[in-house]
Amino acid sequence: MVIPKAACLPLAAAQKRSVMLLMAAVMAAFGAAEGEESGGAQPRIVSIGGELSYRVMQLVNTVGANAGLDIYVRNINWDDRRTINREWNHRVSAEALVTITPKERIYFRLGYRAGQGAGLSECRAVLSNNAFMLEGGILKFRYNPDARNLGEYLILSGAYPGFVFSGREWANNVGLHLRTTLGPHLTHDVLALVELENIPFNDISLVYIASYSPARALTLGAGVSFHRLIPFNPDLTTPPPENAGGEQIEFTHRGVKLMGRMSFDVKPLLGSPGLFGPEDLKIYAEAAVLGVKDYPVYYDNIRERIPVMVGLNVPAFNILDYIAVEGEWYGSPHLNTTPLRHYRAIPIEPDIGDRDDLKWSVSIKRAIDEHIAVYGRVANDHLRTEDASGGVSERELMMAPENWYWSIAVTLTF
Amino acid sequence: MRPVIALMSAALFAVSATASVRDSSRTILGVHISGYMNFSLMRIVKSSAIPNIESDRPYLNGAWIEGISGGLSVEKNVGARLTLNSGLGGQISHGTQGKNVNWKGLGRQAGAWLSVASAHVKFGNVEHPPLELTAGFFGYNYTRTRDFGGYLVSAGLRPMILASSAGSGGVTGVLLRGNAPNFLRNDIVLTLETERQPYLDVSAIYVPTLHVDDKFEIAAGVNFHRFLVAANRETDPELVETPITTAVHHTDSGTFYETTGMPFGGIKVMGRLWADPIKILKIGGPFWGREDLRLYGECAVLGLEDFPVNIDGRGYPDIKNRIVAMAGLNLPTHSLIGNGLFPLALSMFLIGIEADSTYFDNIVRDNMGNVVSQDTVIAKRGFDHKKPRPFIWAGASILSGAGTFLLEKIVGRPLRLDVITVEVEYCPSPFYENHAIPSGLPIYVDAWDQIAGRRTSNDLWHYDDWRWAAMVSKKIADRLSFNLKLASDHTRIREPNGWYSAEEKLYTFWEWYWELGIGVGF
Amino acid sequence: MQQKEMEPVVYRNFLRILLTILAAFVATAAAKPVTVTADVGFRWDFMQIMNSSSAPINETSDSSWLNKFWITNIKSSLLIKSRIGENVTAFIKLYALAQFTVPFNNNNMVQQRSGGGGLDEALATYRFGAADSLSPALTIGKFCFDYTREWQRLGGYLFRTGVYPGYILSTYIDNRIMGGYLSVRLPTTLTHRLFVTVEYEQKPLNDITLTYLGEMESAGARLSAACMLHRLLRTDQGYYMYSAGSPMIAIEEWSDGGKKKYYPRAGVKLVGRILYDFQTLIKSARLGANDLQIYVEAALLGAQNFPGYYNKITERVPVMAGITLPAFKVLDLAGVEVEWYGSRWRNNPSWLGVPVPKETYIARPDGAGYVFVENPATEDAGPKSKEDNIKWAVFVQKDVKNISLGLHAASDHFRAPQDIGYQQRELLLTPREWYWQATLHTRF
Repeated sequence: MVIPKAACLPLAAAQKRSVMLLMAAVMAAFGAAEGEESGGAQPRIVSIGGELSYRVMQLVNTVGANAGLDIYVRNINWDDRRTINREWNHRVSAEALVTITPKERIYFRLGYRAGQGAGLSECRAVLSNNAFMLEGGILKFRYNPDARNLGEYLILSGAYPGFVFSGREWANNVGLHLRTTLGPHLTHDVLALVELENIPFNDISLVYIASYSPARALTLGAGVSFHRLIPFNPDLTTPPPENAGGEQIEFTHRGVKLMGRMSFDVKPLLGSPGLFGPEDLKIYAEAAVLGVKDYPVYYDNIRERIPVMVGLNVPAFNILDYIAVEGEWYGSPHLNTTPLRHYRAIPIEPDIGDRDDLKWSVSIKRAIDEHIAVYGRVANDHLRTEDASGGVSERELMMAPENWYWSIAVTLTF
Repeated sequence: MRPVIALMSAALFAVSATASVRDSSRTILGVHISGYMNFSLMRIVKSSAIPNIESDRPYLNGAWIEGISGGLSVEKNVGARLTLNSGLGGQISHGTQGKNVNWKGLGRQAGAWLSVASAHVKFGNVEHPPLELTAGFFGYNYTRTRDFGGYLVSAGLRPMILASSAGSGGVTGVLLRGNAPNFLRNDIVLTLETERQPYLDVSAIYVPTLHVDDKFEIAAGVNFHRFLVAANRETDPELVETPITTAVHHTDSGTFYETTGMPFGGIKVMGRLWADPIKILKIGGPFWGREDLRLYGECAVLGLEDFPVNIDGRGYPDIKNRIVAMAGLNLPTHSLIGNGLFPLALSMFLIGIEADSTYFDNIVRDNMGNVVSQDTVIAKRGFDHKKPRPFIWAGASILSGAGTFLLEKIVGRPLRLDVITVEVEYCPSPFYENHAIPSGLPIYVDAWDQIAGRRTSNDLWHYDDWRWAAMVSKKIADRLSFNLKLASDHTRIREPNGWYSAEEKLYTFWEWYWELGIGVGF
Repeated sequence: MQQKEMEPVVYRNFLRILLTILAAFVATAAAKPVTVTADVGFRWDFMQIMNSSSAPINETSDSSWLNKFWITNIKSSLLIKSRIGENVTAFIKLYALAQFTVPFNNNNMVQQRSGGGGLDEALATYRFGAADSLSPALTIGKFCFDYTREWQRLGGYLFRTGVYPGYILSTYIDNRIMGGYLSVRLPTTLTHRLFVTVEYEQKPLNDITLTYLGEMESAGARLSAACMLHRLLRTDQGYYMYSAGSPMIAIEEWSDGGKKKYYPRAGVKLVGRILYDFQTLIKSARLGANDLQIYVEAALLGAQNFPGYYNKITERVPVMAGITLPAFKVLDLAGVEVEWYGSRWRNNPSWLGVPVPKETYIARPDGAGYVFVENPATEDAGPKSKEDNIKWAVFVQKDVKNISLGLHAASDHFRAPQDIGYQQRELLLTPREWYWQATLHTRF
């Protein structure tokens, strides 16, 4: 039995430097903070808010019959689609939010969500002023405010294999986020995120996203993610070589992801007539590369790692807040499955061809007032079942063009 | 990852550096809300733990364990005397493999649990009540330790499970506290057993504490552990007493066993003291930190009664093996010492305790997977390994200490840590007491002996008799706390439902971990 | 997919119904004042099963493994209430729990320790018109609802029973329903409630049930009457589960002149309850507020007969009666209740969604569990099938400020707690099998 030597080694040079950096940072921060400990008393504002949500969903036609089963099945049995055909799902959930604002620019927020399972939804400290915003903890971060369902590929995705998600209002990221507005019309987001959702865990990713809005009607964005840049356990992030195509090839979960997006509001070109709602006639798109580097056999064509999403807010004329029609093309030849029971950096599900390349979604919203809103959706997207821990299943439920579902949700926020 | 920690640390410092608070609320009527958020990063540097019988690999060497947790506690005053306290906690983390965890437990875990549910009643003068009653589900701590200790409530009896809970033990029951006269505190606790099988037995604890202002404390205590048994002897006899087979007789007419029963309960006794020499000797001054030189110790006997050994050698025949003792000392936090000498000494200690390990190379197996031949390699560790290490650490420590000292002079304000604590514990039990089996008998250590390069057998185990912990902490603006611990203690993993796993992960005193915690309280 | 015996009434019109309800919320008001309050409470249940013959799964009856078995629940609740404007109130109740209970599935001798947290209740109420208790109100969410008195141990059949099979849950189990109801008082002494609820516990899930509950209070009497169209709107999945060839569950069929038919899970439930407060006639300052109340409740768990399991309507009618004794303010409550339920079978809600009871009280010859029912029309259900018809409960309670201490002993439809729900199997099979429970809880 071999004991890996690496497991027995003391701190390496790079680790020592990092520890020194940590110590220096800690000491510097002590110095900055020390004199403030006995500062004057200021009121602490504690507020509680909450949200209730009732969602009804019907899976009208789905093929993900094996979603949620414990055993891995190599061949999808298409006849099994009846088992969750036209399945209804009702869900009541609630979230309690406690916000502590000790000073004007600082607040702490603790969110506890319960419904199907329970746990933390938010747990962060935020410091902000006119120049920047810094937050750390469990974050709720989105960089594409226009995307209602599809998109958000840069963070909500994997690389090697390049799985994607949809319909997740927030990605539960853990880490640090810095936002600044240096430069005219520019917004910069820098994130250091810790992977706690998909194995292998604890890898650190660095993300940079820039948004440029030269005019109110136009926004361009781009981003790069050094996915799993710092692995916690290199043996898991880069597993042993696979026998692929007759060769031993080393695949890795690490990679560089790129993203580009745009959002254009047509209304100013039409003179901004008042009969349109503020979200009407927006066209938006997003594309990403889920791993710029090619690898033989499984990842030899970069076009198969590029999801593209296009969306249009159809005019709702203030009857609804928005009607967002979105479409996505993702030419991956593999099933959109997240790794759960293995660390291999290759897709393991059988190929089902291009039947699942196209996805679509129609989302609507109507705010009754500032507290009550109704959401609706009809889609064939990357829907996955939720488990009690707030995570999602490894397989998605929509695999063929004829699969779709609808949902209606009513939320009350206070 | 580490630069990110540094960045995160600095960011959170910056966030809270200007924060100072006073209790008030705006829209919440009638209740006081408090809570915490905590980010914890731990690395198990060395561990002999093996997951199950199918694998001999010490899988936790170098493992990272991380989690973010938060909790809310709500306190409601009903009149002047009655206070209700209710709390819930939650976390996001991921599980570690253990002997009883299947693969589903290794994924992302989001858990929620009950942290406190209690009612507190004051009798007599409300401002200084001579008598107080707390009932419900709450933590009880009669010590002032930071890792070990609190044996009367936190330790088991049979088996002798030890915990690293900073002296705190969970109480599901009643605490009656007398505060008169004002130098004597008497605690009487009736509690249900909720930590380890068999559950719901009743224990009675009495702890009188003599304290002189905030300078000196001496206390004793007795725990009539599990004096009331919940299990039904007729239906669950093995949850009332553990059968011990003391002899086997093989005769012509068959094999006969001599057995006796060993109850889970018994009597624990404890003595402790705590002292603040700076206050006693009145030698305070700018050199000393607020908590420097505090020293304390606790000694307990976990079971006064001897029991014979089982035929496989396991049991409790000798009271000496049931004595556990701990001691702790707060080191001076002066920058030259706290930032210089202390890290120097600690780094030398950590290098010095590194044990050699054995591994196998050039393994040749047959068609059945059996090893045919292999080379045995001994990896030297300690001061013989990477010889520049001690000098590098020494230099860095001296630089840190001197640099901090000079920086203090320049900026004109102290940059010291709040507390630096070192604790040690000694318990000569030769068995593995921290198991989840509902049996009063200990078991033999089942781990990968990295020195010998083989799985442990049924040997008496004394590599874990000594335990140690070094902890530093710094609090900013009364709310933000940074805690760093390096220890070889009884650390356990919290499960999603809030209970702690029974299994320890460290089997020798040279196996250790470090843990960084960044927390915000409000 | 085969046609079912009962013509399907799927809720394809559900969308229409939902939108109609939502229309009630439409308002274009400006920003409304919001007040948020928080409260806290806890509850500690301490129980001991004194005598139970319920055997572990796959073992024979007359086991004593549960005798003197302790169970304890410690639950903490955080309550957040919000009033938005004049007409809308929201209520979120979160809980955290530490629990020591009977091992899940009753097949493990070692006590089960569990814990956790989650959502206890979440509901929003909209009042039409003036914001007082006389105005109609619409409540939606997931919440506990009880039309009986909070101290009642037996009864409460409307939302604590099933039909086909007609299982009964005891009232110590918090009864949560998911859905909504409209409440109207017309006239002021008569309250009408119309419920639309979703099945989220027993398979097949997501069936929709329509219930009308009317309550009238006058001259010391309180009369409640309800009609429930259980699983009126059934999901397609529900139909599929009951068709031949379904791989999901074992279906139950019966023969009608050689034609195969299937037992439904749907049915009509009727409930009636009357409570009379004798203090209307006997006035005394020495009597407590809850003293001298007598109440009777009966239900019909499935109006339609089916051959085999459900051929006698009297076997589907539970009846209970209770009386609160004079406690003269020494205690706040003291009472006795009895129930009679003539079902022959062990009525446990089946997680498989099977619409008939499966187990008899007859031990299998090999000792591995109970004999399954083969010929329900004629088969003897076993020695305890009649003994378990009688249930009883005695209880007392004392309140001190916000804290209540209750103590009761009962032989009721006790099922071990599992998180904030319950395990499937009833554990007390005859009147001689009983448990006691002490409860300490705070009132919001």
